[in-house]
Amino acid sequence: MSAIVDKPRRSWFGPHVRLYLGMVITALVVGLAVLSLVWTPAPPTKMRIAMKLKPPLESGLAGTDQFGRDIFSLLMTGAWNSLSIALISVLIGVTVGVALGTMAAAKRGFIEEAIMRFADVVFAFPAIISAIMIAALIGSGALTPILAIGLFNIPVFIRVSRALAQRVWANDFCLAAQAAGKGAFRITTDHVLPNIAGGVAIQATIQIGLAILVEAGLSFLGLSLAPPSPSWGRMLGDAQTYLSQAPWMAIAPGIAVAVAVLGFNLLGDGLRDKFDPRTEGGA
Amino acid sequence: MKLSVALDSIVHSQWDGTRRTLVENIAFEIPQGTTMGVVGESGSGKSLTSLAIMGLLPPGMTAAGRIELDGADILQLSPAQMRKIRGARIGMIFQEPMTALNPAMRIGDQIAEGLLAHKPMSRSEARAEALRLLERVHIPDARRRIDSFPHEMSGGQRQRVGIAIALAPGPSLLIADEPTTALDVTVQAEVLALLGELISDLKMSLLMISHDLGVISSICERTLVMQSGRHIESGATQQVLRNPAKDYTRRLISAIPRREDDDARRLPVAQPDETPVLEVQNLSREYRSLSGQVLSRAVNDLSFSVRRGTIFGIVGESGCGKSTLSRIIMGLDRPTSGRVLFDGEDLFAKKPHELRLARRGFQMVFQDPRGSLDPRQNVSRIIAEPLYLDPHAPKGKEREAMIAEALTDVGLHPDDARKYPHQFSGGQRQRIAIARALICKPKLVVADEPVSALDLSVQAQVLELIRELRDKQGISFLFISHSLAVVESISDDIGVMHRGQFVETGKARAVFADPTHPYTRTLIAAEPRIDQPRRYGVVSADEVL
Amino acid sequence: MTGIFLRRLGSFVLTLLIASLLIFACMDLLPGNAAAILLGTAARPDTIAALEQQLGLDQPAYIRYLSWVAGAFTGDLGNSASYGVPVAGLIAERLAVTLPLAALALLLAVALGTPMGVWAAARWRKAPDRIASGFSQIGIAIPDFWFGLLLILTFSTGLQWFSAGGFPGWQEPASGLKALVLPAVALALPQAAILTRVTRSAVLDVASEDFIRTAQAKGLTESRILWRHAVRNALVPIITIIGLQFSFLIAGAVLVENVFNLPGIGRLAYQALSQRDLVVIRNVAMFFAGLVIVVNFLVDLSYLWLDPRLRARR
Repeated sequence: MSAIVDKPRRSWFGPHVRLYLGMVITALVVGLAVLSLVWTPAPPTKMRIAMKLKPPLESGLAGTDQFGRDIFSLLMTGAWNSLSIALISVLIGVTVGVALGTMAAAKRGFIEEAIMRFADVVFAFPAIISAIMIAALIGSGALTPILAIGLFNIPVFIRVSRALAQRVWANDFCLAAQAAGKGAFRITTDHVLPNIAGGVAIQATIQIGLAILVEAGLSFLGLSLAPPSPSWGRMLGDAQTYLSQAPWMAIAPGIAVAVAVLGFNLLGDGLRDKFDPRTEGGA
Repeated sequence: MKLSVALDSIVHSQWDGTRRTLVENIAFEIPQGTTMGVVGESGSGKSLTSLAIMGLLPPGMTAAGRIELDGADILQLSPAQMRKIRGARIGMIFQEPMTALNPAMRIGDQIAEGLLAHKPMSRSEARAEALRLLERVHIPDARRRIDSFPHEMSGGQRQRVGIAIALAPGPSLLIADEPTTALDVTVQAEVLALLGELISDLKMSLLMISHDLGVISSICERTLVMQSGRHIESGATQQVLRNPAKDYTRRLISAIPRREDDDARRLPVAQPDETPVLEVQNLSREYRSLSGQVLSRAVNDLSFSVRRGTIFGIVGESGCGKSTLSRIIMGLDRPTSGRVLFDGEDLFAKKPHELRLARRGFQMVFQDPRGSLDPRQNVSRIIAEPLYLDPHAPKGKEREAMIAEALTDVGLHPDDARKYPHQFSGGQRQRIAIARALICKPKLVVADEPVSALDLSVQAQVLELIRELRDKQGISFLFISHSLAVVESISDDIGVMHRGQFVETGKARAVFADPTHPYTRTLIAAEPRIDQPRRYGVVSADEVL
Repeated sequence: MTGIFLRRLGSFVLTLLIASLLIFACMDLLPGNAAAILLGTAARPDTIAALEQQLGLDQPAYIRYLSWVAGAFTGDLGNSASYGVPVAGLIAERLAVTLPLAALALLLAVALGTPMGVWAAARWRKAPDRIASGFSQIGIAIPDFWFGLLLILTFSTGLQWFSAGGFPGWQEPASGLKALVLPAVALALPQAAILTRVTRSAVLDVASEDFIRTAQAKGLTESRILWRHAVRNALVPIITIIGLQFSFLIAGAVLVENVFNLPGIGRLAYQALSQRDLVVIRNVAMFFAGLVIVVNFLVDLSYLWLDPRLRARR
């Protein structure tokens, strides 16, 4: 805005650099996670006390932990666990959130008010607090993070899909559909959903990144998968004890989380740049 | 002060290094105290030209050539030097009075801000000057309004504030980019009169950008016609309009809606006992507060009827209730009282499934051809949507044939059925919207501002299509518009709507030839026309013929 | 103005009410009540019954709910089963760590994130924009508790400038504050990154509005256009995000308190979970949810002050 004349130059940056970078990183993370199902450099759960606390490259790419387990193999299996929990919980959020959000946009008045109040209430619970409450009731395990993260994704998607749906409803083609005798439900399936799908998918990509981040926090506190299933957060929790002896234990899983989250965020932002250039926001 | 523009080009350089030339070889001069109009359709580059003069081209665009203000080339100035020219020597007025003002700042401050940027003044002096300017642009009760926020004012008042802002540092040239396009016709006349008064009192020059030949001819001494970034022709306004040298100008002028010759038109023979296709009886729509208090009457005891095979035009300014009326007739809203008879049957007395069947007989066309077509559906799905009303609508081959027929009827090709809306131009999209209205073979089409979003030449084609559908297929239209010229050119009967009521109804020709109600007369007088001499600003001797 | 205020107040109270009902339903009504969870699976039925009576669990649900709500006003929230002291006092004591921590982190995030976002927007698609965007992209991806570990690694075990954790109390304000520096920095990083990003896009959004062009046409300086027109109108989305992010700040505080071994409410909640102390969990959950709701209510109210268009509506 400041420049009156912006001298553009040909740039290797290009307009879609985030998209491509995001695609590469996400593909890498997802690829390693899937690969871990059939192959890892060493068995991820096998304890080798003789090999314990070896620094990176001395044993494996990322060293070993306090039980001599290969950290890189743990990271690969952890990626699978983390991604599946993130994916399932975001799917819960999308399903429930979009259903309620499009309903709120279609039905004005009391129903909309009730749905939005519900979103406010659920939103008031940070995922970690609901996870503590859920863990108090059902104990820890995969279900706790899935429920807690899924729950906090619901209001996110209620708000996003309602806002997107309201934009669709403002178009005259919805009026035309009403004039063609279609009801709110039919208009939602015929016109609203196809038009908001892209926006919801973009938000979902970003939310997967966020879910990975939150899941790491939950498993750091022991509120996620129980041992011996590898998880990035618990690896960090273990590392805290050996911080001065074996700092690599704390560094590798953190980088794994950051790279995975970065990949999904870049992918989401890149998709938004490409398909919804109106919101040239986002960093 | 004299502005002389000799632009070689305005080029947009994109990210990937491709460059598009948007404006080419535009040259004109504005001597001190004269008025100049630039006219063209969307994409003609007329607004970019005015932004280039202000040094406010959007990022990525560069202007090449010379823009001389009293002999000095302002394209060569540094940003800081350019700032001293903007506002102080050239003032600018923008199109949307709603969005052109900062919503979070009091209007007095917005005027004073420009004064303080250019003049050695104290805050209180600037405020006093702002007050004087508000009075100068005829804001009533200026002493109180100076602390108002923009949203507390009407559109016309906001545009007056916009003029006061442009006026404040005392520029000798005003650039007005479509300053009245967003305003109602009566408000437009007031704003044009104010502009004329100011430029003749303050001996300013004016550069007016508009798509509306009528507006240009009402205030500009000279006119430049642009098309796709190129100069078409220029000269004295009366010369250009009366005696255009170029084809494009001639087409532009002939596209201005005007009344068709009566001979060319087959008037339907009205049977005395024939039921009208649509009859509205004592219709009212009230909006009430929760406590039951009547807040407003959008439609107030309105009655009229539409004869078979004719076009009934409704003309009115914003807020007169014409859109509420069309929504009620389409069954998208319910009246507080009154009846809507379609083919002699009361719509709101019908059961839901009967209403659905009846709805096949009347369809709707909307204003914005972009928003009225779902971008995710192909043309064939869009057009077939009203068939949902008919449980026995044909499927498969037969349905495809119906779609092809509807497309042919509106001048499109049957193969277009597989395309998506973004592959069409604005006028073509409006044709698709009309095809959707035709698929059920309706007796009546309600068209709410169907040509307002279209360029003049496209507008003429769509109006012609509507006439053709009336004449060949006997479809009746309820044609709603804010534009007097459009309604006059297309309607058989009209109703002039004001505050939820018709102040005048009758045969279109009769009403326009001899309006009886003062409001109708105001409307007709306010409409800028190209067949009248210039009305606003300094009238020089050579123009008074 | 009063009308809109009362309506917001009403929905605020309603949200609080529903949140409390939700917590009560989860913690008190679902199968496996506090007494059974506290005593574990091996407990004898009569011991459970005795404890139930002691905790007041034998009374009807609505009485228990009402007495809980009433307790929130009188400060009597019941006793912690594991600590054996009143929960209200426990929370108040822990608040002395969590509130300063959250406030410090918020301050840091706003002081860093907003100017950086404005800077990025003002130099759109130039080097500063790229730097700020890169910072925010990476900052958002880094888990705050991991960043805390890295800070400990660098500044405690490495440089030995700060202690690795623990909290000396507020007897000596300086050392108390010093103990909060690293945790607050860890907590502030992702928040600052998000604020940078949101500020940038909010300012850019406003920068494309028509009234910015009006301001430019007046011949105003770039900095005046930026601050008085663009940033001023971008405040609503910026403050909205600060409000929405507050819930993440709380979540981050729970984690960071555990990393740095700070006796805050987050740590209390975590410890209560390992002790199966449902009374504490219930009240801490309500406290956090209430805090988020209050903050968002304040954000709502700030709109009335920031946006004159809302003020006028009744």
